[in-house]
Formats: sequence, C-alpha cells, structure tokens
Amino acid sequence: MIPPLIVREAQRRGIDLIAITDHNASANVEAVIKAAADKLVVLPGMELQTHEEVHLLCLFDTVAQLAAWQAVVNTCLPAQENIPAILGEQFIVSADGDLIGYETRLLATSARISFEEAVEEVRRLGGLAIPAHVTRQVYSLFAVLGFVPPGTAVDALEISASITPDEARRRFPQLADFPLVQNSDAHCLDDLLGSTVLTLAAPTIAEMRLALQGREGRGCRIVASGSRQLLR
Amino acid sequence: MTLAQIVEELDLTVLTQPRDLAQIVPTCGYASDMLSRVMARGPREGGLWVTIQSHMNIVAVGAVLGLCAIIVTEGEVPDADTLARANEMGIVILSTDKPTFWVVGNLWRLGVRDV
Repeated sequence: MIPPLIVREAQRRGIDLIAITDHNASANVEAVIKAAADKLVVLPGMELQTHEEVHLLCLFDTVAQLAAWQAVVNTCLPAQENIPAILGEQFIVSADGDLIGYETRLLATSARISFEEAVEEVRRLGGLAIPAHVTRQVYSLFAVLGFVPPGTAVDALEISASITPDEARRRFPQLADFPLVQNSDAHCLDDLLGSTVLTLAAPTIAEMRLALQGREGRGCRIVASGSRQLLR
Repeated sequence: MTLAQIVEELDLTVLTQPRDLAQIVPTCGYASDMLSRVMARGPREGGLWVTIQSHMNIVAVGAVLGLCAIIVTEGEVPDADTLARANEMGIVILSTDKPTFWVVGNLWRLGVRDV
C-alpha cells in the first residue's frame, strides 16, 4: 500500500476520491496527497478506536485540521510502545513509497476518548464523523454499543464492503434513517472498491455533508454494493 | 441474596440515587462488554450485569432487558448524564475498582447464578 500504487490502482478503478485513514494515526497521509497530485482527491483522515473499542472514521478537508485532531488523539493514547514482532511494523513512507521512518507508539489500541467526545471534537474541527463498518461483529458501533447513542450527531454510518445496503438495513434496524456510505476499508490494493457515488459541486467536507443529507441537489448512493468482483 | 448484601460483601460504590437495595434480589447474572451480545443473549428481567462499559447506552440496554442493576468494573465511571438516565429508568448503577473476573467470582460465591 505505497502511495504511488494506491493512486494508480484508484485511477485504474475509476475512483475520484479516497481517504487515508490509518488506525489512530496520520503520518502517511501527506505522502499520499503528494503522490496523488491532481490525479485524485485524497482526504486527510483517521480511523480512530475509541475508549469503548468503536472504530470511527474522521475525515477532514486539510492536513492542518487532521494535525489538530491527531494532537487530541495523542493525548489519549496509552504510553505504550508497538511490539513489531507481534503486531507488525508501523511504517512511515514518502510520496515515492520510500521508507522514511517508523511509528513507535502502540497504535493498535484504544484512545482514551469516548465515542461521543470524539464525534463532537471531529465535527468541531470541521470534519465528518462516520462510525466505521457498523455491520461488522468486531470494533463496530453496533457490536460494542448496540446502536447510535441518542443525540449523537454522526454524519453517516459506514457499512462493510461485504454487505448490500438492503441487506444491511434488513439485518440492522438500528441503521434506521441514517445516511449510509460503503467504503472498502482496503488494507491491500486488491480491496479498493469505489461503490459510494457522491454528487458534489466540489470535493469538500461541506459538500459531502450536503450530499449525505441529500440537500441542495447533492446526493449519495451506493452502487454495485458488496460486489467487488463486478468491479474487477 | 439482596443487592444490599452484594454491595456490602463486594464493597461496591452505589452511584445512583439512594434506594432500599435490601428489597432487590437479582434473578441472575451476566458479564459481557459487547452491548450487542448483552441485548441478544443477556440476563432476563431483574438480572444483574457486570461490564467495564460505562457508556450511556448501558442504561438503554438495561432498560430494554429490565435489569435491576449494572456493576461497572475496573474503576470506570459513568458520567452524570448516564447516572441521571439510570435514575430515571430505575436501574441501580454500582462501581468497583476490581476487575470483572473478581466481581463475577464473588457473585457466584454469594449464590448469584447465570441466565
């Protein structure tokens, strides 16, 4: 998953917009933005693991916003080191894909921030807060906390690549009237998906928010859902 | 075994408003930190639930199942809104610094059994 290959594979699949969302981390985001240049929109993001063990997608317009969010997360991470022999190395790469460093803090853990606090802070910083893969049995909002906490202003809910929106709504009544997005959660190039189609005037968080709410002519729909094979 | 005796024996802190805990006898016990599991397989009406989760949603789950009390372990502390909601729903929230394993072992010793 080095930056030039991510960009090339996304282009090959006709994907116009991706987000880089490492686990509790953001050190590789700028490299992908640089590698993409004007070929592809790359949103700066993070997949946060909250105190309750809920995964939350945090998407921003700018690297500066993401840096501000990372600073908050850093204060919530435990003072533990990664154990590469067991958990794997946490590489930091350049735009060309060269290894330029290692993240030595333990990232494969929960940040000590609650789900609600995280949603509120991400939105306060101007970002979108989208609970990740809610249809999964682990590390998901529905598995861990059962349902969207009443009054929590999530921007959308993300369903897994392996389920269709209809099936998801049938199996999880908690999805109710929330906007849905489907993302690949790709950990390798083969997993890139591109099944969520956003109608936007520009690739910005503000426009995406309108699209998720279906306002002002913007829109969001999931196509060819759960059918990666069709896209290959 | 009443809730009052359990609080006494396990040295639990009562976080919700004072009630006569001697009148409450848990029907059974259950331990899990995944609320989806608790909702699907959890304790029956009047049961007791042990968890490290202190999130507001524990009250909703407790209310859906009609639980008498929730013991929050390992020093986790529900926030004021969560406790207010528990008071509203009539669910007793108890806390302890001890881990779930210790709490469940002692509940079993006192005669509380599973679902």
